[in-house]
Amino acid sequence: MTAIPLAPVPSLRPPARAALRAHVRSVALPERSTALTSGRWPDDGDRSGPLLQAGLLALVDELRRGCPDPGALQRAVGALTGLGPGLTPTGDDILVALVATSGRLSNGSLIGAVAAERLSAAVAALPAGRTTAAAARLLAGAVQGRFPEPLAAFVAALGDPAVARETIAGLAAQLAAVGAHSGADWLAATVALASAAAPAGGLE
Amino acid sequence: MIERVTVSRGSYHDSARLMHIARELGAVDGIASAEVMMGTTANVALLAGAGFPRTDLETATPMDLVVAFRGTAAACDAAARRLLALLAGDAPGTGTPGRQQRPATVAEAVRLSPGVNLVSIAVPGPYAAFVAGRALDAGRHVFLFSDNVPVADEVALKTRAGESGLLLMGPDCGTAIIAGAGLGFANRVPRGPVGIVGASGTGTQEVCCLLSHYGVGISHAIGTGSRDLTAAVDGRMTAFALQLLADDPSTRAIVLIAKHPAPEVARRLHSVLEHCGKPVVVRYLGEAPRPGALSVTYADSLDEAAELAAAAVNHARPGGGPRPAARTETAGGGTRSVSGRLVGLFGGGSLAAEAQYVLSRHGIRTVEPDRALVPGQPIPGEGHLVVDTGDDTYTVGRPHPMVDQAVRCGLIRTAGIDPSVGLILIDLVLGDGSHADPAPEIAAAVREARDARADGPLAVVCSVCGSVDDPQGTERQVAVLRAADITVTRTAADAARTAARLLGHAGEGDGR
Repeated sequence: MTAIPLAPVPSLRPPARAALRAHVRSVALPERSTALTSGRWPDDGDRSGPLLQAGLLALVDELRRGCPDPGALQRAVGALTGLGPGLTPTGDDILVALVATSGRLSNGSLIGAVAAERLSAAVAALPAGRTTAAAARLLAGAVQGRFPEPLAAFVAALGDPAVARETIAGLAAQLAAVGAHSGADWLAATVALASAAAPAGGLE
Repeated sequence: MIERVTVSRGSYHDSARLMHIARELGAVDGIASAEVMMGTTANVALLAGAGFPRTDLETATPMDLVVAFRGTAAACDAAARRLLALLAGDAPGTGTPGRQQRPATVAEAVRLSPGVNLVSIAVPGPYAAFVAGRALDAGRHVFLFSDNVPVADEVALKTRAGESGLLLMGPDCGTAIIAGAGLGFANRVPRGPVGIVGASGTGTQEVCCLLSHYGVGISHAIGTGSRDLTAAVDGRMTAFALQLLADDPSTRAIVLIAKHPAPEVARRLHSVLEHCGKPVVVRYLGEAPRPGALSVTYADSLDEAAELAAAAVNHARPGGGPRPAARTETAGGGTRSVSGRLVGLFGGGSLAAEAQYVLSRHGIRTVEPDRALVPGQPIPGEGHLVVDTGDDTYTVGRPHPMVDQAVRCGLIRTAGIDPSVGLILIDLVLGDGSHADPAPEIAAAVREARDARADGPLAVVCSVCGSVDDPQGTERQVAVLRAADITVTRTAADAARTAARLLGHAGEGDGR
């Protein structure tokens, strides 16, 4: 496997709430993504699972509320970095996906622009040496607006009214297939934030 | 119940391997839980909070692998033994330690095998410079297969290697043959008087195979990494490798192969080539030959480069006369003219560049698609396309197409079904490291495409880069392709010439 190249999220049409909701519904989450977002871990799941889920939900909630407390945001980011299994720990995968998704959704005002900027700044402010070299590279790319290509492609299409649900489902499947679990972790975090930004029953 | 923590210094494995190790340790009888994580601050805190010995954990850094298990004393001993076997590369699920000693670091490897003078490195890009640095520390040459190494690291490593009189082949070095030993993807060719310096993996492989076909062997084929002739790297390793071959008594002629060198680097290297005291043939892929000098000849294609090198060591090409289309079949698809688009689906980036150049010489303009081709989705654009399916765009999450042909076969089916496509141009690169038996998969994809095609012929031209001794059996691979009515050539350039003929562009030079 070749190391994953980084790319910016292309700036296309801004996301629309109704399209975002439809897109989220069309994504089939793999088991690991479901565990991250629901907390339903398999019996042999790793010890970090509940902490990762709590960290993800806390950050999503902060972003949804506009990140009013930069200190709380920094603590939430700090709790996730380096946490979990893998050469790129899941906590860092979550941070990368949330930076990408919040940037995209702030373009359509579905997430506050200030919140997205504060998240990126909080990730940029992480002290060196807290995570693996591979994850540090991903985080450094994310704060510069560069993301693993399958993640960038999925996030760019998310909420675009011109993108068919089948296309989103295909991009999600490609994303979930990346690596041992990074792709599934990116997908989980992206869908979690998108769901929070376009809750079912919200105004169209 | 006791807890035990093992910190493995500088030990990193991909995530799938880490998950496998965790599962294997968790399956040891008497183990209640096993955690396998990188030693990041958060993971160390997590394990300490779960009751694992803090004193052991505190020594871990994010570059270390931390394994923590809880169970009976006997189970922890068994798990520790199992861990050692797993880290040493024991086959999954065998339950017995590996027979071969598998060192965990470069320093350990050098200590165990003091006579070894070259270290081959294939680790994820972010770690590659660190490991290569340790190999140079130990005074060993380096073959660096890893890609995604920052260019600043490449320059620093090559500068240091050059100062130490060591080779730093790479990063992103696909092939090398040093004193008969193949590294990375390499063909089994005899030893002989031609030395090769290549910043182009499949280009080097093709010249090796052509020379062996002409009865000429290789002294050394030194890979330099695909960026060596960029302005930033300044041809550092190419110049050093050329000097080594110039001083090597077993090398009587030299071939230099690279893709699109920076103009100032090519100018400087020309001066090096002129003064190396041996005949030199240069092929800069994707561009027309430059003016040569007394002992330096710039070739127009890889096959011409191989012929010139063979001639330089006094071996006539088999049969003599004008260049034969060595394996081009004139039966079947070889003589029919076709209409429609040409779609080139290459596994070798250098061979794709070579084909594009030859097609342009025949007046056939090819373009890069504006987005990656996806199996099952319409082929974009309207013109002729040549795609390198070994590019990062196509290899995310999967091996290179020289190993895994799933994407390329999917694209063959997709392109073949498309009625606007009249001709598919592909390559097949054999040798150690490559797919064990690629031709049947390609042939099946072509048959499926033709079966599903509504109307109109579909011509397929394939270059096969392989030697008579390659493990896949080059002759058998060719026979399988021919049986599927695929026109087979020995070189990518010949495949492109054949394609041009089929498309009615007979005259080379049309496109100049």
